Amino acid sequence: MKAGLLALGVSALALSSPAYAETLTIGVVAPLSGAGAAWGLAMQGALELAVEDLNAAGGLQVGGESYDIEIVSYDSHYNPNDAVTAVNRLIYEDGAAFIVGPLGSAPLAAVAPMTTDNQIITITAAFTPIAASPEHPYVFRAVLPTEVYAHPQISWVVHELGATRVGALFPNDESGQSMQIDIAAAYEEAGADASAIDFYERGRMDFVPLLTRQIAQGIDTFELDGSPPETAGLLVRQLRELGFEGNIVRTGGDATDAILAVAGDAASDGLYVHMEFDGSLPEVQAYEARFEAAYDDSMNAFSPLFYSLINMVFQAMQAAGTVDDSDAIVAELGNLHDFVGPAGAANWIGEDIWGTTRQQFVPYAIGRVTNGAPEVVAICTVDSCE
Amino acid sequence: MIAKTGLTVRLGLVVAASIVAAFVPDLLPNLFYVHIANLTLLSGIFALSLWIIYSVGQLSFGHAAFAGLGAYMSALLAMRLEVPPAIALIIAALATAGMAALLGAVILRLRGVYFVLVTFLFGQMFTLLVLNWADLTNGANGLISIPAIVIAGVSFGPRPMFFYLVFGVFLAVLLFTWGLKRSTFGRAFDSIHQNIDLAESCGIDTARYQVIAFAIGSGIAGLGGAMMAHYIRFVSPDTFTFHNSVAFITMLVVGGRSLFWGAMIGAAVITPLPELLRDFEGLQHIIYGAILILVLRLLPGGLVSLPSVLRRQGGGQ
Repeated sequence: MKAGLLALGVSALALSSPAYAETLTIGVVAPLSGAGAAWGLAMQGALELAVEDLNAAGGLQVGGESYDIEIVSYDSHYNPNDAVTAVNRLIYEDGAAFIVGPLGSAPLAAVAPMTTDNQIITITAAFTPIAASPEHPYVFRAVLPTEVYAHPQISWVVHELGATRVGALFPNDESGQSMQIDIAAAYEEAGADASAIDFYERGRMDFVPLLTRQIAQGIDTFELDGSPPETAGLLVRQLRELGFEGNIVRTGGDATDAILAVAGDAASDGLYVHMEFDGSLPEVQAYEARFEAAYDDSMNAFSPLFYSLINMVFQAMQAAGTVDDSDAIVAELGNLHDFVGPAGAANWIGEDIWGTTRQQFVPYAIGRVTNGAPEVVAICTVDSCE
Repeated sequence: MIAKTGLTVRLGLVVAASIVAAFVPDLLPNLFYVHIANLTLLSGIFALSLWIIYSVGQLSFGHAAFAGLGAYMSALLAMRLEVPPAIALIIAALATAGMAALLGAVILRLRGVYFVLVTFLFGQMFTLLVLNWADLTNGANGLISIPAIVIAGVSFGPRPMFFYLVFGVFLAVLLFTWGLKRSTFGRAFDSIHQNIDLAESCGIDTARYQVIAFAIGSGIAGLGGAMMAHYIRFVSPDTFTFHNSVAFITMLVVGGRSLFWGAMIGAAVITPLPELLRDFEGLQHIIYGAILILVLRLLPGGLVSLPSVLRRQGGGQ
C-alpha cells in the first residue's frame, strides 16, 4: 500500500514537471560589491527579471526542448584578475551558455580571448573598442559607449547651454583615459575649450584641490563623465561648496540617483544628465517600478538595456533552434531589428565605427535635474540631440 | 649519514610530486580547477621569490612591480620584436634581476620601515609608468592577445599544458631555493637575517649578499610575471598592483616565514581560498579575513608550524 502511494506520488511529481526539462546555466560576471556595484546589480537584476518572464511563459523552448534557467553570479570586483577566474569557472565548471558581463574595459580585455576561444556570447558594458572588434565576434554591448553619444550630446551642450571652457576629472585608468579622449575631442569639435582636464586615482574622496585649480582656470562648464556614480555626486557637492555656478554636465552613464543621494537635491538642481533612454516612456517606467518592487532599491538605467539584449539572445536561440551553436545564435541576433524592449526599439549600430554591428542602440535622452528628478529636455538619435 | 638520508627523502618527495603532477590535469574535475592549480603554482613562484628577499631580513612591498616588469618586458619582446615567448620570458627574468640589482644597490642601504616604504613607492612608480607610457605599454588598455609559450612546436597555451610547464618551473624554483638555502649564500643570508651587525663584524659583505638576494628574488618574480602574462594573454597596470604585493606577503605570513616551505603552503592555501569561499557570496571576504586572523592568532609561526604546535600540545597532555 505504502509502495503504491509512493509510486503514485512520484508519478504525480513527474507529471507536474515539464517533461525532459534541461537546465541552461547563464552566468553573470560583474561588480556586485564595492565600486560599480550599482551597475553590476542592474545587470544581474535584468537577467533575473528576464528569466522570471521566461519561466512565467512556460520556460525557454528551443528546438523542441524545454530549458529551466539557472543563474550563476560571480563578483568581479571590477578587477581583471577576478574576472578571468570567474569566467574560467563559468565556462569550465558551470558550463554557462552565455555570460552577462563583464563590466569595465580591463576585465573584458582580460576575458575576451578566453570567451572567443570557447565561443561564449558575452553581453558587456565595457567601453573598450575590443567590445565591438571583429576579432571577438561573440561580444555584444548593451550600453552605448562614449564615442557614440559624445558628439551629438556635447554638441547640444555647447550650442544650447553655451559651454565655452570645460573642466573635467577622470579616473586614472583605462576607462577614464579612453573616455577623456572621446569627451575632450567632442568638446573641441563642437567649438569649446576642453583643456582643463585632470586625472585622479579611484577611491579618492577629496577633490577640493583639483576642483579649485580648475575653477581658477575659468571654466564655465564641468563634465562629470567617466567618474563612478558616487564619485560624481562628491564632485557635484564639492563644486557647489566651492561656489561654482556654471553648468554641470554628466554626458554618459546613468548615475543620477547616486549623484542625488550623495550631492543632495539642492546641489544637483540644474544638473544636465545623460539618460540611457527616454525616461518618459510608460514601458520603462513600468519596468522601473517592477525592478524597484523586486529589489527594494532604485533602478540603474543599465538594467532595461541589458534586459532587452538578454531577451534578444533568448529569441535568437529560439530562432536558431540551438542553445549551443553560438555562430547560429549570433547570426540570428543580427537579423533582429526594432526589437521591442522596455527602453524603446533596439537596433544594431557600429558598422561605420568598428566594422561590426554588435552595438545595441535605443534612442537616448538628455535630462535636466529639477527638484530631485531628471526631466527630458532632448531626445537623441545616432546623429543629433533635439 | 643523517644529512644524506634527509636529502634522499626530499629528492624522493620531489620525484613523487612530479609523478603525481603528471596525472593532475586528468584527475581534476574540469579545466577551471586546472586554472586554479596554475594560479596556485604561479603564486608559489611569487611567494618563494619573496621568501628569498625575506631571508636577508628585508620585506619588499614592491614585489608585484617586479612581477609586472617581467610580464611587460616578456609580452613586449614577444609582441613587438617577435622574440619567441620561451626566450622572451628568460630575457625578462634576467633583465628584471639586473634592474633589481641596480635598484637594490641603492635602496638596500635602508633598513626596516624605510626599505618597506621605498619598495612601496617603487611599486607605485611602476604602476604610474606603465599607465602613462602609453606608446610602449598601451597605457591603461593593457597588452592583449599576448602569444602563448611554445617550446619545440608544443604550445603551452592550453591550461593542462601550461600546468606541466608551470609545475616544472615551480619545481625548479623550489629546488633552486632549497639549494640556495643550503649553500654558502644561504648561510650568509641566514646570518644577515638574524643579526646584520654581527654578520658584518664577522666579515660577511652584507650589502653584496642583500643585493644578490634581492636580484634573485625579483628576477624569479619577473619570470613568474612573464609566465602569467603568456598564460592569461593579457597584462594591464591593474594586473600587478600593491594589492598583489600584500597578497604575496600574506602568503609568507600565513604559510610561515621561517622556512621556505611556508611560502609554498601559504600560496597553496591563500590562492584557492577565495574560490572555495565564493559560494558564500556576501560573506566571502568576512570568512576569508576571519580564517587569516585565526591562523595568525593560533599559529603565529604560520601553517608550517602546525605539526610542532600539535606535537607540543600532545606532549603537554
